[in-house]
Amino acid sequence: MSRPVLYSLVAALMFNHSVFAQHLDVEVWGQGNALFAGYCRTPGVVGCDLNGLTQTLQLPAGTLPLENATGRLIFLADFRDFSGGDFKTKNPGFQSAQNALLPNELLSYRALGTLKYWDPVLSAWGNPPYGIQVRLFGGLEASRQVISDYSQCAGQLFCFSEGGLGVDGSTVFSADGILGSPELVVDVTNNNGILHTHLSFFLENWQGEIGGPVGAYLVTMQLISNARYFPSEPFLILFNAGLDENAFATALLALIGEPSNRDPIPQPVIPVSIPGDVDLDGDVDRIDVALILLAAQNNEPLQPENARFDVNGDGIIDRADASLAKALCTLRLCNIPTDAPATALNVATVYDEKTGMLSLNDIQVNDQHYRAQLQLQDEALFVLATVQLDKSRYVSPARYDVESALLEIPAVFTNGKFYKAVLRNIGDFKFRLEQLEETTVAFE
Amino acid sequence: MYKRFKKLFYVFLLSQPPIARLRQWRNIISILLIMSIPYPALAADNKSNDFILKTELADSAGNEAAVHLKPITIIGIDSNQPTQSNTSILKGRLLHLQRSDTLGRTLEKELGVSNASFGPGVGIPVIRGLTGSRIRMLQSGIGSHDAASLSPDHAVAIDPLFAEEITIIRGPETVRYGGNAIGGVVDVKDHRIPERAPKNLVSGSVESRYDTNGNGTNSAVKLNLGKDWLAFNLGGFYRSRGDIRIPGKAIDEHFIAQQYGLTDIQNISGKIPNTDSESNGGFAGISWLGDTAMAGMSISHVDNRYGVPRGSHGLDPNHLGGLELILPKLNDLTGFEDIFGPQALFPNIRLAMRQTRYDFKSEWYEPIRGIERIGFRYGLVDYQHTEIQGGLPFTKFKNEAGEGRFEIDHHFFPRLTGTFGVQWIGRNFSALGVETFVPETKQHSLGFYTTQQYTWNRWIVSGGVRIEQSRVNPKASELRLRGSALPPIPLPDELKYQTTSFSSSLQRNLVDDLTMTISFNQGKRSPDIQELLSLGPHLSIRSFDIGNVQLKNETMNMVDLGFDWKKERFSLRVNGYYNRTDDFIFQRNTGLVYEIDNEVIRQQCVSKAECVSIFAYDQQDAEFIGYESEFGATLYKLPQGDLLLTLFSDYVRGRFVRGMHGDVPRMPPLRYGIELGLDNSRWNSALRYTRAEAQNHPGENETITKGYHLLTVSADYQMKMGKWADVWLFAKGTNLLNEEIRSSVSFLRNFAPEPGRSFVLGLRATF
Repeated sequence: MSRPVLYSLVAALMFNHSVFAQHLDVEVWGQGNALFAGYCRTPGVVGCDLNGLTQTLQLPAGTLPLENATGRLIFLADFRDFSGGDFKTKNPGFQSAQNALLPNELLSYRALGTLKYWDPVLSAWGNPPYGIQVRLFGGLEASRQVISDYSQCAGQLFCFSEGGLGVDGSTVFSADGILGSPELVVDVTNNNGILHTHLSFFLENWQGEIGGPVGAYLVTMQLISNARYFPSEPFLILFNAGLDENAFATALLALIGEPSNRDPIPQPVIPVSIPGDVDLDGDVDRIDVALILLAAQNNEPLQPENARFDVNGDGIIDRADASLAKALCTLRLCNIPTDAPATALNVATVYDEKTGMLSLNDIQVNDQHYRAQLQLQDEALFVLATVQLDKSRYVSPARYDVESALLEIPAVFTNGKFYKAVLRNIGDFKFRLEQLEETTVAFE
Repeated sequence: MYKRFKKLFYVFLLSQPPIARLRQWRNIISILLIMSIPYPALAADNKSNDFILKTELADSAGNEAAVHLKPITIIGIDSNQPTQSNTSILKGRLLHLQRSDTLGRTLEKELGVSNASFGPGVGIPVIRGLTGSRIRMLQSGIGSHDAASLSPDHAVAIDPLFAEEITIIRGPETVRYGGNAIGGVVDVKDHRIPERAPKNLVSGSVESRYDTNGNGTNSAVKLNLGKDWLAFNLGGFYRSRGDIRIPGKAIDEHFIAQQYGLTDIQNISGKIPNTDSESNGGFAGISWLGDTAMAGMSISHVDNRYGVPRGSHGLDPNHLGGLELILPKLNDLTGFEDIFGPQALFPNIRLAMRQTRYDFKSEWYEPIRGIERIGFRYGLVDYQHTEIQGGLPFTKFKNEAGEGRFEIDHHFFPRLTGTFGVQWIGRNFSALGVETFVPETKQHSLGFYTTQQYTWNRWIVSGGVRIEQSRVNPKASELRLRGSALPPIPLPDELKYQTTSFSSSLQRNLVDDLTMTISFNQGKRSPDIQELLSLGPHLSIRSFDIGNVQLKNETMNMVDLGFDWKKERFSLRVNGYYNRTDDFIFQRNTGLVYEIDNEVIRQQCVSKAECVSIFAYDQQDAEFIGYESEFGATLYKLPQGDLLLTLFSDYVRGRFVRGMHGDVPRMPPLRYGIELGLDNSRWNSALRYTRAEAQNHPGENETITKGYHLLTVSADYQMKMGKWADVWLFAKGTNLLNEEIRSSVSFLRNFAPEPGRSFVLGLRATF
């Protein structure tokens, strides 16, 4: 899990936006076996300030960054922001609020499509200048090339592919499509399903030299999870490379088309479950305290959107709320990484009690790996709903033995607990639950 | 291996002379025994030309004397014996004068020795460019068993204030001390366990000194009590200093940007914040001293609290995760100073170290005919240090170790003397907290060794062999990287190593006063815990370390040729060496980075300030070539004293043998200089100039260091205070030119230069 980096929150909530480059973070959540990506699902969450965005870019009121042609969400970022320099950026960030994803759920991106370029001279979208590309460095630790068996790494505790650390750890968005590794890790959620992380985007030429023409660049990607069958809908990331706000707004409006009053994907508001966690990053730290102090100093009235700032629930936001938040902050320096989770890192199987769907994200049958879904039909009887050939994604997948017709699942995650389960194939695509016992250690 | 050992033993047996000559050579055997190479301290005594000669006047079998006398000890001088030119000893006036806050700083003037600082609180000796797991730090023959080899910000748990004598052995000394002495040994003798009863019922010493740089104060007291067969030693010290003063800025912004990509640095001129330190400790020792045997023990404790300069563990000091953008907007922070105050925002890294030792020693002199001594030595060490950030504990390192040694010295034959010994070490190591890049581990080793010396006319032939077995048992069955999607990494239950090391040397008195020594050592070292099992960010050196459980033994092959020429008016000492190390263990840059905030491994990241490079332990052959030389002469004998001249120089070049022939990192630069002294029996003075050239071979991912001029001056005066005490006054000035000195052997050189100009005043009284 990442330690929150809250430049975006600070920029979005507290300051004159012209000082900072505009960007929207990608908020991620899961529902059943599907993954979703969007913005402003959780009010007040880090990196969500649509009003500030429209004001800064002087967009028509009600404008939402959605591509007109496809309806895909557009996330904004700027190569000139303070994190990287002129041609590098860590934005947009990726985040999930508490319980929006499973504990220890591994999130990856999948690059799609081709790189598009907004030429400010022509005021038109098209292919980028020859050789210009956007390179994205994702996380490598869950790469398919990672080998955690030292006997295959010449003794090194882990390595990437064939004993070395040589790995193609980047994704290139070019006019010709996606080069390098199309899928790399975003991050893994913590025990509360919280994630906030940033990747590393570079504008460069094909020789790897940093830099590129002024304009705007557009890439497409979607998010995938190791615990869910369906990836998110594809979305777009629009990078500003040296345009002023008006020119950037023009590039954006060319994608958006006519002002739209469409709402983002409607989702229920996730309640704040940690008192004092006003930036919704899963812990109470010094930044929460500082934000409450600032709100109190500005005499901000209590509204539904900032109700979490009223930590003591007395109806006003004041220094007493900040003091209470400070008391609730028990972390080292009010900002400490937690110890390694004791639970399994990769939960290959998830059971949704509401829908009765058992999602097997990795089943090994001999040397083949599959994904499947089993629908609960009776008290202990499941029916195979879907099955699809897939790649190996987990340390400990479920295993199906053809001869015995037994499906052994080392860990099923449901309702905050892990269970070890055995199902028997009784024919006609039906499986009967034969063993179920709670386990604390997912992989032994 | 065992066959080789057996063969060697037969060679020694064949050299046995006729029994009839045994008696007439007895005294010579005794002399040679004392000077045998397994005893570096005693061998080094020869350099100063005073040693203890034991002889038994009363004979035993075959000599029917009418009166039987008890053995007596005779203090004698033998200026004709050859010396080991790669061994030196620092004691007496020079030790008192050079004594400093750390062991490394105390020894940095010695030829072939440098000081690896990490701010002034840490000073680890570097011998011929090697340190860490390759140099053994001993306290009276038993290891310091601290965490210094694990990370360069961990201090050596030996305070030089109690040192009575420091022996430095340059080159492998694996035969007696094991694999971790592959690069040399620093043995600090403090006589905590009394070895002889004091002349008076009570004697002792008191020392106090003041350092103008950082208002440093050192005070120590030592008492020797006892009479006849019982002796007590007591001692205590207190040391403190403030932040050190430096010329110019603490952080070299150019190199920091080049090495780490840090550009937004909060720099400070004139001093290095958070470099203050405070230390105190004490010991008590007791011995029973019999006619033919002794037994003693001591208990000692040391507390050391020091800070390390900012910029090492933390990232960019201005990096507060966005908080730095909110705080300027807040008008009133009353009541929130504890989380928004300077210490909370820019927390200091401090280390609180404490060590308790229990040492035991027992010796039996000439228990039977042909056995000169049977010795037993054991040390039990309870070490821990806590790394504290912003006043709160961060990581606690613990090391519980026991080390023992049992030796038999023989003089079976007139020309042949030697030692047979066994040494064992057990160690429980743990690091608990945030920066736990090494798992809890147990380590055991057992070594059998022998050293033998054969003397014939002007020749001395020495040889030794050691067979050692060691095993490493990680407590965890697998390693997990906190907050990472990296799959759990299974660990082996046990790692076993076996090493066989050899040493040989040939000494020859070419002419009177001129000795030539040529030695060849093949020392083997099994990999250390951190080299095998590291996994995680190592913030003090801004790296992410990956261990390798299939590392092989490191084998050092060193040839050393030395000349030692001593005349009445001048002396010359020259040593040249070549060291070819097979399977040298080093950290290879993988080209990947680890983003600390997000806890993610990447190939590259946007902000270098938030990423550290990932290094994997690997092996590659390396070679080292170097020399040490010193020429001393008495220029004039004046009525006021002797005018002395000393010229000195040392150098080592280390590089990897294959591939790109890359440089071994953090090698000391070429040093040379001159010292002029004026000495007489009561006072001494010296002016010393050292020129260190630039280090243009810094190694991969390291930055070059500039050359510097170091000018020091010292003076001391000895006076009698009646019959009760001798008082010794001393003063020294260091870095008189106030040069900005960044040591090429220091990990932190770009964050913290060496101290600026300083003057030390002090006195020492012995009674």
